[in-house]
Amino acid sequence: MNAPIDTSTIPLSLRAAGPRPSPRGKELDPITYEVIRHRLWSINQEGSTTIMHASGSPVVHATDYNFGIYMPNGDIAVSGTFYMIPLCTMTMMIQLINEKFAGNIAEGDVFVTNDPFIASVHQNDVQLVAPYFHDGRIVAWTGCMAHLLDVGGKEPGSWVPDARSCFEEGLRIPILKIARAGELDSGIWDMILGSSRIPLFVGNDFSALLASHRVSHERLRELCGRYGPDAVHDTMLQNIASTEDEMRAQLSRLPDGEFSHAMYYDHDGHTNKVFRVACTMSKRGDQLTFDLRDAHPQIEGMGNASKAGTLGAIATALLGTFGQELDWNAGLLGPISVLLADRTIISAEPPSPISGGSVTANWIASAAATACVAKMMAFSPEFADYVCGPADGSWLLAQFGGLNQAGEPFAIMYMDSLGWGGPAFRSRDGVASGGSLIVPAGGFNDVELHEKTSPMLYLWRRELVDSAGAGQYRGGNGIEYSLAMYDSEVLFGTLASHGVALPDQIGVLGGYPGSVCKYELVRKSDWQSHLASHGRVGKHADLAGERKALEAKTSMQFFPGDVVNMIVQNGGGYGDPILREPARVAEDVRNGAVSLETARGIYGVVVDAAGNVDETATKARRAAIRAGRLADARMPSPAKGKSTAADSLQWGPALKVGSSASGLTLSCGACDAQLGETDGNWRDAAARRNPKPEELGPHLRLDERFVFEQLVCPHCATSLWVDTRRKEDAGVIDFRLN
Amino acid sequence: MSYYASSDIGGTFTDTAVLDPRGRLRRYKASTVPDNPVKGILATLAFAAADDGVELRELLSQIAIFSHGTTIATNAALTRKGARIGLLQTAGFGDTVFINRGYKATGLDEATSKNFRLLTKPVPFVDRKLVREINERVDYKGRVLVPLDEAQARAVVRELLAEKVDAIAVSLLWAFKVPDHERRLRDIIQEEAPGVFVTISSDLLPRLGELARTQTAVMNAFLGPKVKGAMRSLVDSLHAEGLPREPLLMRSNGGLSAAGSAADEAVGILLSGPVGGVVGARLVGEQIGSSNVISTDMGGTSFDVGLIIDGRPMIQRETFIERQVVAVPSVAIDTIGAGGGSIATVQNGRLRVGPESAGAVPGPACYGAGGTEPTVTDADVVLGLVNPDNFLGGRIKLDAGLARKAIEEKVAKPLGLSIEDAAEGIKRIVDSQMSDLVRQATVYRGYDPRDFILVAYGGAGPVHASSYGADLGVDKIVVPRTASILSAHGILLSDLVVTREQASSLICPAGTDAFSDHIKAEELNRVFGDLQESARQALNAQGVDITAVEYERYVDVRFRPQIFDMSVDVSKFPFAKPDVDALIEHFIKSYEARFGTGSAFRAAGIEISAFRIVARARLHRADGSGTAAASGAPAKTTTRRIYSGGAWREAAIHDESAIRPGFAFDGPAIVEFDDTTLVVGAGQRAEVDKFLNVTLTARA
Repeated sequence: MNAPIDTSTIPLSLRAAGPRPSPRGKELDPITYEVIRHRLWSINQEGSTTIMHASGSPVVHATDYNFGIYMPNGDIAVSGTFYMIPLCTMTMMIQLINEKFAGNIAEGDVFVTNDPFIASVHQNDVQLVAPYFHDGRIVAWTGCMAHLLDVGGKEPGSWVPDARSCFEEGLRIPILKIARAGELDSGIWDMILGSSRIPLFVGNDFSALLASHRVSHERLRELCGRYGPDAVHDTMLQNIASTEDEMRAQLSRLPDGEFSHAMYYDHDGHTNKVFRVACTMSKRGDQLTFDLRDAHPQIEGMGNASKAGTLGAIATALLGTFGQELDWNAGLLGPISVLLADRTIISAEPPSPISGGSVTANWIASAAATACVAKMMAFSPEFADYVCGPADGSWLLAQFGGLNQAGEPFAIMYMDSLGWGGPAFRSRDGVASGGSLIVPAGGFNDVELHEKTSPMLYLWRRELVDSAGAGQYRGGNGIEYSLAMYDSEVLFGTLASHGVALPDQIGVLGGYPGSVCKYELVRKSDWQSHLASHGRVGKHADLAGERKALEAKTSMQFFPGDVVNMIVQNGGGYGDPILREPARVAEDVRNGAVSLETARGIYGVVVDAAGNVDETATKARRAAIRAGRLADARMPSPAKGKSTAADSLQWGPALKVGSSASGLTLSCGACDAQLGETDGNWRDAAARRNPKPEELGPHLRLDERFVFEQLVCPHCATSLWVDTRRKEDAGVIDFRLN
Repeated sequence: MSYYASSDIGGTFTDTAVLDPRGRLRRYKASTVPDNPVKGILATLAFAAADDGVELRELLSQIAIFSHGTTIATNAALTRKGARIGLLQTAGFGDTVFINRGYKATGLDEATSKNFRLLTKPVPFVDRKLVREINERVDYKGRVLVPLDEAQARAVVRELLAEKVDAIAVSLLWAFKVPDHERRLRDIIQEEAPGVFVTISSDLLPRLGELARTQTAVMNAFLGPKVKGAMRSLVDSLHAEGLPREPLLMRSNGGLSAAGSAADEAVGILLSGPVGGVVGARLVGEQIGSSNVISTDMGGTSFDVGLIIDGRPMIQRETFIERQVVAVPSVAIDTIGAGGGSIATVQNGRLRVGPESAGAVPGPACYGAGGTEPTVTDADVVLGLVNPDNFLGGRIKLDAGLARKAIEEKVAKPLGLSIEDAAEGIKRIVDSQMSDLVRQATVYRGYDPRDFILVAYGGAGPVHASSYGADLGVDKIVVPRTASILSAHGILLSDLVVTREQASSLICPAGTDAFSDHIKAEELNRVFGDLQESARQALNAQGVDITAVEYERYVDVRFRPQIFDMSVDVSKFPFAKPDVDALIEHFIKSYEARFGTGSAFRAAGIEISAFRIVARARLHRADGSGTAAASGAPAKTTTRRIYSGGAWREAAIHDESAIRPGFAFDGPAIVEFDDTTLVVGAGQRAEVDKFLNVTLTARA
């Protein structure tokens, strides 16, 4: 049941609206330009480290923050490398300030907002921007944000899975001045701190954010003093223009066409409903449009993202995919437009709940957009190395609060969940336990730091074997961490994620999806006595107690003896796993990344006790896997039509694609067999099957409403593509080339 | 009548500074023999002996102190040729160094950290197959939840020995609080295999944070056996050749210690060579009468910056090598990939320089060794700053034609500039990158470069310092005569140094300014007293005659909710009650200097988290001013055209004989040393002092 498509929508730009700014000074020589450009990056880094050093929050310390420098109109000029989504929403914030506060923006002003319906992501992500004036004129804005650990609302930590409206959630601060001409507005300060359960921490974070503006403005003052404010302004402008030129050139070298992918968001905080978000990306010349209007209407539960949060997530995905050789700034986003319908799960408006707006349906939208980009880039030899599946599956929220072991109020979000495995590429495996794109330079804290400050003890923090998506190159395995309540009588916790019912980090070009995520709970467990008697708790299943598989979203109280184990979603593979070099699989087994069973069952590699490959058995096993695939596949109608022409395009290792009068001519990229002609959907020419989750990976699950769909070559049975589909939905058409 | 000698064993050359019985400072260079570093040392000392007409053995027998800096540990880490090591960790946490707290971008430059497909984690120094988990667990309060399972531990150790490990690192959760399990494991390993090198994390780094502790212990075990073998062979060879005393080794902490015991803390010599330069810069500062010094070392591939504040090298608690942390205190050195070999590229009308380097092979285009990419050295040649016939004293003949060709094709044509303007552009960009790094090292830490002198050394430092130094606004740019061997010179004049650290938690709660009511002076005195005693004993164990010992004391302080802390220098000892308040106020002042007025969050309370003491025993020697040669005009002065500020200008060219006390001259000018080139800018004046330092100042 899809939302009706609202065709009236105006394309949204990821750059600041209005006329492009023009140079202020005389022409910049390339040397001065490079000197200033380098200094601006160094100032940006200084802004970032200031926040990190001055903040006391373990969450900020674990990189849930960012810092950027913006043009006077709000275009991003220099971008930090931590939590990316808000970096893009601060463009909208500055643009709104320029409209709302026109004539009322003074030197020393600092503006704040955290309102997702205006220009933020969710209430915890508080954004502060400040104009930098030189000789009475705005040269740039600095912008920074951090996830504050509690901004009020009905749950400690301000994530409210079961809210039916945003009025049950934390404080929403409209855009206002927290400092006027250098003077802090103590009324606003007190109001914000007063709405938090942990004002001391929140106050410290605000101090850190304000300090980063102060420090960076001092550096900008020095830079403008040395080279003149116009040269600094024009350097940013030229840097953006140069990135935009390169971005447009890149796009021009990619094939024109439409590329589609659909994904699903599971659980609304009340029940395990699922919501579809589909993306069609069309590429014409040097323009790229993401049409995301085919999205479920906004919901009365956790899952909504605002337009700002969605645009921020799309921008992040673009920086990560197209920005690999480019400077990250607004230029990269110039050729992009996005279509959103009103009041969908990715463009929610009040009174929708929005506390999960940083990490919910906008991640689904961004993953779908990444998949579309991959489907396009797979056609280009130049961009073949860029192709990967979605880098970020879901945020496995582990938020706890109450009184800590010292009897003081505390709130903590375990950033350990950032330790998911990254996607595989054409020539490398995914990064294990830290593969995110959304916080590219991010990471999390020491176990000892958490145990010192929060009343929970880790039973383990390790990489989970077989949790990555299999492939010729495999995804990265992800983290698994288990927390036992310790030195506390009662704690309040919010555990909320998506990707429990189905995996979001699909593989590409025949690779398999990474694991689903889950929370495993044992109430009143015997962990302490088990630990004492066995010396360790080997795995969650070893614990005695009341075992409970949690739904994707819960808020609950925790008591002594309770243990919860967190398993994240992980990176998808690239290419068919039975094409992986057997020696690599054997090395994976020796390193504990892949189990013997998975090596044999999924990779078709038989490894002996000494850890060496049994060549003969491997050959036989791989042949059996191919035969097994063809045995239960629905074969396409027999191939007809002419063979693919010599000038056909290669779609990754999977297909050769040519055009014919009636549509496409196709052949298998692995065995060259002719797959014939179709009238447009390549999948019609492949054999289709619906593998069971365990056939794709031991940590995969799939809700009964869904099927896995694997496309294989009807001749050699090589895996060409694997993804999920809700049973009643028609599949998407991956590409239509113009 | 004694000699003092120091060698800095680099990858290519071994530099030796010799202070002779007449108080003259002399410098020698010879090729390094990587497999046998003693050969390079002996070759340089043989030159010295020949100059004095004595046998090498005789000279060696007259050396009162021989000290050296070595790259052995650094090279072992960079080439990953160290020990095969095992690692023991608390059950459930064996993946600690692989998880690396999720970080994958640490230590990467801007371009790489924004290139998602290149963003991969550093590779740990222990093979995953050689990590074993031990049944034991201690909690945050130091309570033992699971006692050490000795039988299991012993079985696991045997497994590792069967895997033929040379060394084992042990790093358990909370071991910095309760080291018993780690110590017992060390005993068990030694019982099972007395020859195996063991490192336990609680010995090396008694501080909260298991990742840094584990990575540091792993690196120490990886380096330990190699350093141990190399030092034993060096000590034995030097003794066999006639050196009467224990040779000393430069440590990353900025001081010397006995070479024979270096392996116990092998991670502590990772910066052995570079730190010598910073200490050398400090001595230059003393000679000039300045206690705040920025030391800048520009070589072929990197640019290193160190700081001397109030006469002391700034210390950093963590160093990154191969993108992994080594958390022992060391002299702070910031580095970027900017050097003579940095490559200039043009992309979409933009000129960038570095961080890619042409390295030593093929090297800059002008080396004529097959390099075709234009580098900073090529630009220096085109601009006439570096004489192609006198590079490294003529050891390498440079081909100016190749330099021009590379710059013309790869930079000038694409940008539509003349070759000279393109070359000057390359130089401006690399100079500004270097001044940006100096700015990060000073301004970003709350210091104003204008309060410092800048000392420039390394092969390329004196060529570029007149420009990047002027850009920073320092009063004086100083190039010592020993610029090309400043590390050896610094090591020659170093002190014996021992550093001791202890984690501790002293808290002043939120909402009070009565710091000394909560943080007791007696407690500070007790901890520092213990550390001092431990440091003094370690100094006495070095086998060197020690007279006076000086102590520097530091505490790490933070506002209570914070995670990062700041090191504060404690000048006064012992403490009385008001001194504690003064200490905290000093912290708050330093904090606001760093993060801006009003940034201090006083209401949150204060915590002192660690204590550190640096014990320093001065080794007395002559100051080298006996080197002074005759005054008067230099023997040989010519002129040459150099390109600067968009035009060719006539510049005076002096040879090294110009370096005589009292000689002063105006830029634009160049002094061609045997082993480097000093450039004096158009608006600058150069003056030589009695120590043969050349000081550049802006001409009035």
